[in-house]
Amino acid sequence: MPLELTRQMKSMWGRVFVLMLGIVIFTISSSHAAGFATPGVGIRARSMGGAFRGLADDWSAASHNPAGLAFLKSSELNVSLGTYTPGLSYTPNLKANGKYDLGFKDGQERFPLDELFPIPSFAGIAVPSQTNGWVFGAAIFWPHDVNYSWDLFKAPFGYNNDYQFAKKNFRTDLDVLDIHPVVAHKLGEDLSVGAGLSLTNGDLVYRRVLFIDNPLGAPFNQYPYDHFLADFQLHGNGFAVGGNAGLLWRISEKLSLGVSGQTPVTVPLKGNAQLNMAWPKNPALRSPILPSPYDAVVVGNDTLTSDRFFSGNYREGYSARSQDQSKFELDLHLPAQLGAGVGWTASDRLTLAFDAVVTFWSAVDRWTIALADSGLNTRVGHRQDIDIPFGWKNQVRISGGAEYAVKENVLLRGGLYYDGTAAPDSTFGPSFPDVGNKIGVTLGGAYTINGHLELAAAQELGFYSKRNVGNTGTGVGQSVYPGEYRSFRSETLLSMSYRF
Amino acid sequence: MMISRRYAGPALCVAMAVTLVVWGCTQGDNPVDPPLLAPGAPSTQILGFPVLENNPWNDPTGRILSVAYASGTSLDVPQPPFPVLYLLHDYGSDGKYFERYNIQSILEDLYRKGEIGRMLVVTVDASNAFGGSYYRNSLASGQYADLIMSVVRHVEQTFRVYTQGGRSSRAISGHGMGGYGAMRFAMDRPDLFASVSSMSGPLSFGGSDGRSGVLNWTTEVFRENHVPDSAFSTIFPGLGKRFTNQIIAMAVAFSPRPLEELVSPSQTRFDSCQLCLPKYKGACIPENWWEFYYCKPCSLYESVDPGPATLLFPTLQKKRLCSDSLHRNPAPIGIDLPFDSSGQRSDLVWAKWEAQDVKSLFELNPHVFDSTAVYLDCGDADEWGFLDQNLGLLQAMKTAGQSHFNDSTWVWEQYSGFGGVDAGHSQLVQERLREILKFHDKRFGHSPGPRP
Repeated sequence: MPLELTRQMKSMWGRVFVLMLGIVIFTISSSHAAGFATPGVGIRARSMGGAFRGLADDWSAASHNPAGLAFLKSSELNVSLGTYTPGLSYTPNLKANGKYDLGFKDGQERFPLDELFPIPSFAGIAVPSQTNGWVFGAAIFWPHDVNYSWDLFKAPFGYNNDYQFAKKNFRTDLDVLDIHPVVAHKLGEDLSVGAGLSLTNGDLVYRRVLFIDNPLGAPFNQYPYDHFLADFQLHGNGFAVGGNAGLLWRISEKLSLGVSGQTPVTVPLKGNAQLNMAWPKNPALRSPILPSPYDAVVVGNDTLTSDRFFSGNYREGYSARSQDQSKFELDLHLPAQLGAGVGWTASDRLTLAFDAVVTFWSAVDRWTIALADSGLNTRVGHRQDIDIPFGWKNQVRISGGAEYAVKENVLLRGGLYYDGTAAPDSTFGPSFPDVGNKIGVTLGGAYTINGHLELAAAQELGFYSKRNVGNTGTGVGQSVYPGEYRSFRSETLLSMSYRF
Repeated sequence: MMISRRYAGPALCVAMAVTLVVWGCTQGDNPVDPPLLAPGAPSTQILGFPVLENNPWNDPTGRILSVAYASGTSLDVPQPPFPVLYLLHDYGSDGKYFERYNIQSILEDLYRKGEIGRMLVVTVDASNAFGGSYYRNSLASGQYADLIMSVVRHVEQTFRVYTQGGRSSRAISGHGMGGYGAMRFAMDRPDLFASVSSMSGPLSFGGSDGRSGVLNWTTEVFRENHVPDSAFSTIFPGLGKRFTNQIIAMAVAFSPRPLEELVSPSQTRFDSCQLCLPKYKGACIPENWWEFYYCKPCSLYESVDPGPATLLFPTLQKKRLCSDSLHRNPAPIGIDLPFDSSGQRSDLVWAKWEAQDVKSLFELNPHVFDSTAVYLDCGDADEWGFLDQNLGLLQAMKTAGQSHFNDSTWVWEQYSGFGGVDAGHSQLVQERLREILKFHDKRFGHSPGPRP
């Protein structure tokens, strides 16, 4: 290629890359795999629908199948960037018995409050020439990430809106960072093994509306005061260690087989939880009209009468103090994974890959948020813990992809996958909206400059099956959020690798 | 058109970027929330009602009158007059009863949404020493039916209400005891009310089969009063005696026994008798007000044997104080329970009750509601068994006028609860009130003025 043309193309590619980077940052896309996992790492893998365990021939093998690193011919540095903003909608249908308002914005198609979350990843793989087939490296990526904020709730009729719930009254921001040192070794010309450590840091921000049982007798406990409302939020983080391992067998020059697995990881999150009670304002129930103990609740050393609960908020000395804080602990269970893949070099230009991966989401059965000491004082009792059922199911992801070398330094990639949903209807809600089974189409390309610098981009479109969660009247607004959920996934990923 | 291979990569990237933008911008906006409702309460005043003077229990003649209307409307002269819904409270409560169910805010909300027009909603305290008058004139308690008629006159003389429309500008409704009262007024005065509704009212005392209903309370009443270990005559209201208190209040309304009918009234003595009265009279008294009695029941009836189903109570001529030990010898008042000491129905007394029973009265005059819109509801977990009573009346009404149900002139709504909330007698009233207001709004026989 003439030098002038090469410079022109370099310049053009550079401009396009910068343009796309800007677009990725400033526009909206979404990304999510089953459960709360991100769709995976590595632009090559992603471009091929995630089918990569049988190939495992770039840095992202650290995640997909570390054994593949042993066959790398050059060291590699990579930086990648993706962004996502929730791209789904939820039309709540939480009216109790189909007609009694619980405070949710029923019948309105609601969208997450947009936020842009760039997710970078970084990796460095060293292929020393003097280590007898040992390859070392490290990657930093986010295998699990959830960012959803919703405005779904307003105190129901009868509360007289004295307490204003935050606009983001439902929020989940879960970030799981994996610092992943890895090593791989050739056991022969055709076989390699690899393993990595998942030095896992979890960070969780979680917010929701809690219904607090009203222990007062009639008439103080009649709808809509059969429960009181609480704005609950927490923020915590923790660290844990897991690992992954894999095997890659190059059966022939054209065919390879990879098997890999990821251990489960339990991240012990610790932090602070806060609860704000949203007392109703009802003048007819405000006056202390009955003798103790009939309208009183004894909490610790306090005996509180009805006037404390029906006077609205923000009236010190009149309403009950409405906020309490507590330390909390929560074991965040991240699922194990086991997968196998086949890579097939069909021709000099065409490479095909197929994967099947099981993710053991059944590890995510429930969250028990254990509150320290006496828990959170709701003023009508204490909450020692808060239980959030999940009941997720194991899921299989099947994917296939192809890479075609248009030229020696220009690659086109495409892929297709199917990914099942882990979340059952019985516990489904907007905090972890793994809406439905997904069929994804991916497309990407890469361009290598001077044999060292690879610029790559990928685009993925994911089509979710719509989910209608029926309102059975049980656990509505607490453990399940009936309504219609829709989701579509569009994600863009940019990557830059330097090989040497 | 052929694209040069050198531009294929950049073109692909641009195409991807465009795709990204198109898909990314498809996310919609959240609907804007409606403006907040300001908290509000009906205007209340205490009015003196001469019809209650000289009542046997010296219950106050001054009664809370509560008037609610949407703040978007106005009592000012330039606005059209209001139709009026008289909303009768339940047993064990008073004129502020519907405040606890946010009647004012409901009116505001429905009016703002255009689901109802202008209307006044009027409630008056019709409680008495027994927890509730059942809106009847009774020699054992006072003239509470007359009280409601006095209220109607007062409202029409005082407020800017639509009187030219006659009955079509008035409606009457109530909950529980109030539902019963509303139905009775609609039957007794069809010239006054064009529509009536009852929420969980006792509308068929004998239940759907005529032999159950309140007669099923016998076991509970005996248990609450330790009968037969204690004498039948010791049955008395008191702490925790839910069924006793309720049935005595009904007996006071439906089957009082005149003094001259009492056997050996001269033998009646109430020495050292301490009557139990609610401490919190005049405040918002809950449905289970009897749990808040401080005093102990009278126990000196053994010397009197007025009849197998009759209870005697001392009347009080002075101001009642809960803590008073009243050493008096007033004239007694007798009331007849609908069952005797053996638990069997007392036919003589039952005849008195049937004469006050909505279903029985309806069967005597099946055309009484022919020109009246009727809305009935009851929960499927009504702890008083009023669902069965409603079903009893419903059956009679369907027999007499199925066509009225077909054209929604008459409406029956059996409601159910949801997780953790049974459809009990006093549950979900707030939402039921919405339906009641919409029902009556549609039946007001003239334009109630502009809607927002």
